Amino acid sequence: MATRVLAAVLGIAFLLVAAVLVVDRPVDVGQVDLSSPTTSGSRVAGATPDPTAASGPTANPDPTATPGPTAEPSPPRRLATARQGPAPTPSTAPTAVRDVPVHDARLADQAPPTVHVPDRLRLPALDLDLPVVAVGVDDDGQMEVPEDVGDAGWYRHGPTPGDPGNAVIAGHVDSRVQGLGAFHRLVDLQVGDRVEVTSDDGTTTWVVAGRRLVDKAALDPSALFRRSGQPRLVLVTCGGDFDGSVRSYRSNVVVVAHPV
Amino acid sequence: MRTTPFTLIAAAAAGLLLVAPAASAQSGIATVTVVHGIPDTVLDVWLDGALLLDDFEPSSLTEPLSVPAGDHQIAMTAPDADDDSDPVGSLDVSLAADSNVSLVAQLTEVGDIELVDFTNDVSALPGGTARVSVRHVASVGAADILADGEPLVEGLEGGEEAVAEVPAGDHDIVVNAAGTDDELLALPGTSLAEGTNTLVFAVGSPASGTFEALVQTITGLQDAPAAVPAGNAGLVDDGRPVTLIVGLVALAAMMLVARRRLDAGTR
Repeated sequence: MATRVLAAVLGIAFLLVAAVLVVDRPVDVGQVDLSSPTTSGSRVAGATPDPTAASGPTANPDPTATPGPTAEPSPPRRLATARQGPAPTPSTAPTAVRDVPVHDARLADQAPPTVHVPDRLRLPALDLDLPVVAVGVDDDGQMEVPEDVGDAGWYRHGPTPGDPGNAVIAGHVDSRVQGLGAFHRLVDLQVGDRVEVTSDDGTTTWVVAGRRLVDKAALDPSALFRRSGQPRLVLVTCGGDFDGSVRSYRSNVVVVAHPV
Repeated sequence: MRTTPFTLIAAAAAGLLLVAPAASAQSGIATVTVVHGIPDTVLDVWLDGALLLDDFEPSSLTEPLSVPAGDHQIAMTAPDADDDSDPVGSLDVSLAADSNVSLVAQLTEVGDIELVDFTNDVSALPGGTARVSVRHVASVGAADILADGEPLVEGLEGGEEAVAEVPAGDHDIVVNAAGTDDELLALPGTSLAEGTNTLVFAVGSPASGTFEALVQTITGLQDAPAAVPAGNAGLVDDGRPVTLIVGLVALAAMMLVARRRLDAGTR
């Protein structure tokens, strides 16, 4: 009799533990809205007349830029006008029907925009303070993630934190060689937790708006790596079930933070 | 700016409004950028008989313009011309809907003024890559284009282009006289940003010291990375605890059943 009660208690205890384990680990919290309600991240070439879509490369002409290989051009000559006889009276010539902005096109006068690369990521709620390195795209077309599982990688082709769109920072959850990565605790971030990103021009502060486990097959890269719209900080690692046959997690943990 | 009678503005505007819809047999919009590659020469540019660009300065370009798809006539005149009846160069161009076109005022190899059109490749680029289109629109013979020391194209003639897709970043572009090491133009460390098509127009004339590069940049062509692979060890496998729990619960249940049977047997 005593043993039966013991077995029953044991069984119930296991069930309770299971329930607690499942309930205590909410997969998704808060709001994770990768796409922007105002502007989509889709490409804009060609069809639309949006001048920001394909503007001439004149955004920040550097006044200190050295002149091109050729000397500063002399004042342009004016072709003889089509009319015969003495100099024309300008007042009779038509005016352009629309105002077309014109820019200097000389390559030598173009200054590439200054990029402030993030170098530190702080997650006070997790007591984490990580180096950030700039990463790009690997040979398979996937985002590079820093080799060192203690580093975070900022996607350098996308926005910097605070610029329009999603600034994406990824880190390893684990590695076969190095063990657990710093980002394995990303799943513990809660709505309202603060995040700080530092670069050489200062620190941006963010607050977690949501966390979600996204099936990799359902991940929309164009939304994750959005280039326009509201500034967001997006932290990414892997999580969920592990598929040992391909040595890969089936999901991504995605944390979205809004600027404070 | 000149003062112009209102009637002339109205007439010009009406001209564009009348001509544009009539010319566009197909619906849709094309994106057109006008590039001025004729050194030392101010031009007026006309679209379908209406003045589009007044006193267009050399070595400059327009912002992208939306133009109804269809057949159009572009003309260049001396500045302050009354109309485009006596152009120094003109071009009949058929613009496809959704196309992206650059119209270039250029010098031919023998120094004549000419308008040419290039269709810009605005197809998507894989994440991390950039496209560069080098265009020969200068008063010079055939040229070899080198990118980072490697030949990109040899014997590029006036009005032709060489297109390449490269990793985004800084690249060295060199223009040599065809078949020689005679360097006409060197563009070291040219920044080719990810997701852009950088159009490099080699314009002017080496003989007159006006040979230079003009650039137009088309942005927003990038595809995002396909995925974020950020773990390969399975140390935080969500599936593992679940399996463990299911296993333990099953074990407990079996123990319970076995104990009951045992109890029943001994009773």
